[in-house]
Amino acid sequence: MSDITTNSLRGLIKTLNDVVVPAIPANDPLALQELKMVVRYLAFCRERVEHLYARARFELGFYAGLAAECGQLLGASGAAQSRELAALDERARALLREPGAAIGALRALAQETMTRLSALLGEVTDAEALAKVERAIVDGSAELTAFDRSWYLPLKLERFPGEVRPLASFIPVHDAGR
Amino acid sequence: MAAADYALLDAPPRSFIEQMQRKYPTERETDELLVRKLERRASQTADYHVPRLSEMEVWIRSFFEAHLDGPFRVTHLRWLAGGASKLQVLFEIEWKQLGRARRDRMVVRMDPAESHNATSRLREAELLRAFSGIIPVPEVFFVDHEAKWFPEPALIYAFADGVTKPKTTSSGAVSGLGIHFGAALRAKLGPQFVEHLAKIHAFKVAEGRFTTMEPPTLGTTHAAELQLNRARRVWEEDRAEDFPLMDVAVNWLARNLPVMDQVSVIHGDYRSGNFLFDEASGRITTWLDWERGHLGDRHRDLAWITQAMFGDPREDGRGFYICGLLDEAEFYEQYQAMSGLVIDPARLQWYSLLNCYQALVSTLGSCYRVVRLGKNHQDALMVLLKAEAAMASARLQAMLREIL
Repeated sequence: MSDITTNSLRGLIKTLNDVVVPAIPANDPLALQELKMVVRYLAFCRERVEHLYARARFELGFYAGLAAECGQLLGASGAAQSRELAALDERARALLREPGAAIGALRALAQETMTRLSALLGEVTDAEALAKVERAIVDGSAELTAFDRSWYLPLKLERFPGEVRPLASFIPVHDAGR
Repeated sequence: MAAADYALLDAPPRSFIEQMQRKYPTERETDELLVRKLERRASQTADYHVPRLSEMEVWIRSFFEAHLDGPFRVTHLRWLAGGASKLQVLFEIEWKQLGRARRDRMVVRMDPAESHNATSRLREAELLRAFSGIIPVPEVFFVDHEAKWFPEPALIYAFADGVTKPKTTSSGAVSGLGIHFGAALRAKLGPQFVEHLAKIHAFKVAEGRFTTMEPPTLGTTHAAELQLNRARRVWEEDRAEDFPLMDVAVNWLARNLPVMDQVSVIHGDYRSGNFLFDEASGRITTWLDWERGHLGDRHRDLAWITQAMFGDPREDGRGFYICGLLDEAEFYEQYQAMSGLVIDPARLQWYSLLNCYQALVSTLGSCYRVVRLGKNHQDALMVLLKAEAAMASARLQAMLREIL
């Protein structure tokens, strides 16, 4: 039996638009506003639900790579931190190689890596090393922030949609005519 | 904080609240509001529901029974949309004020049980009263600051006629962000937009008789520190994840705190979507949403206004009209001419970064927590605002790339 989530969402959206939205009393603009936003978010879910796993892999790969890069910039005084970051990168690579790794495991390790990088920015006392790490995080984050803009594009809030790269330029996208 | 610990923020222990107070000293009233927010997370029951209109009606009637001597009649209650962080009910009332019969349309503006923006109704009332007769603002009638009659602090003020966006546009559907006004309205609204801001910033603070705000120390970095501490504290209190790019931003902001040269009243959320206008005449009829108001550096407002999230892309594809109304250079030029105040590019840059950080605190951290706690009336809006976080993070990255 095939998964029918995207088709089901299509039906739910249609029901809300055709049946529920017209039934909202004209004197309740708050209810109408919220309902339209619910519909918009369901439509977004329909666009993105198939790609959640690929997203989790992308984020983990991104932060693991960033951790490895930052670790190499710390110098002798940050040898212990550098080893920690390298270990995180190694764990991430192993998990990404693991067939069928759970999405929760991918997300948890990405979060752990983000937390370690955040903490690192408050720990490094060598001004030169800190400047290098900060720069690496900023430069590296260009790809992540571009990905997020692409991911949230179906919510139709993007001010400059022409600047946004297609999702397929970040993660594998297969459209099976849902 | 380890990732799993973020669930603790649903009901933080006293030690965490005290740690936040010590680590991030901020304005006295802001501190009280943030402490109250966290204390209530721990004390409120899980069976919260969004107030029904019928319940609001009961609370409104009890309030007037306690505050009016003579008879009154409340009718035509309805919810208002907009105002992303507060519950708002419009109603009509027949009553007597100083022996004179009145018939008014009023709005109750009440905090939800958990807001993505913990702010003070009393401060909002003080600001509205201070600017009455200076720029168009609604008349304030009553404040239930301590939530004696309503379940949460509430403000009651006059309903103002007008629209936030042209009736024909589909833009600005989410919290009035990115409104497309068109050339004719831009020409009429743009100059008023600048003039009103200039009047707010040139207002003599001592004449405001504010009890909820104290001016930061002139000639120091105090004003900037207070605002940075507030944003950092809210991030720590609300978030569910770490985001290293934000830590880079905080490091830079803390290393480069700017000195304030003059204390101004800061509206805090001065933008399109927060003023009403008459579509036929193009006249601004009222300024709303003063909840982020404070005393501080005018560059906070200037940098807020010029954020891309409030902008409307130009027809020629070259950037955007700020708040859908003016070219950025035109805005700065008109502002300086009307206010007599100079714009310091270094401070503008600092506050631009702070505002972007603040936008992420709100859309990535606070909105998440509000939805998780389920004590707000606009969960769908809070969810949608995640898309704004994506844009704000891209802007933060671009700004940091330029300044580091």
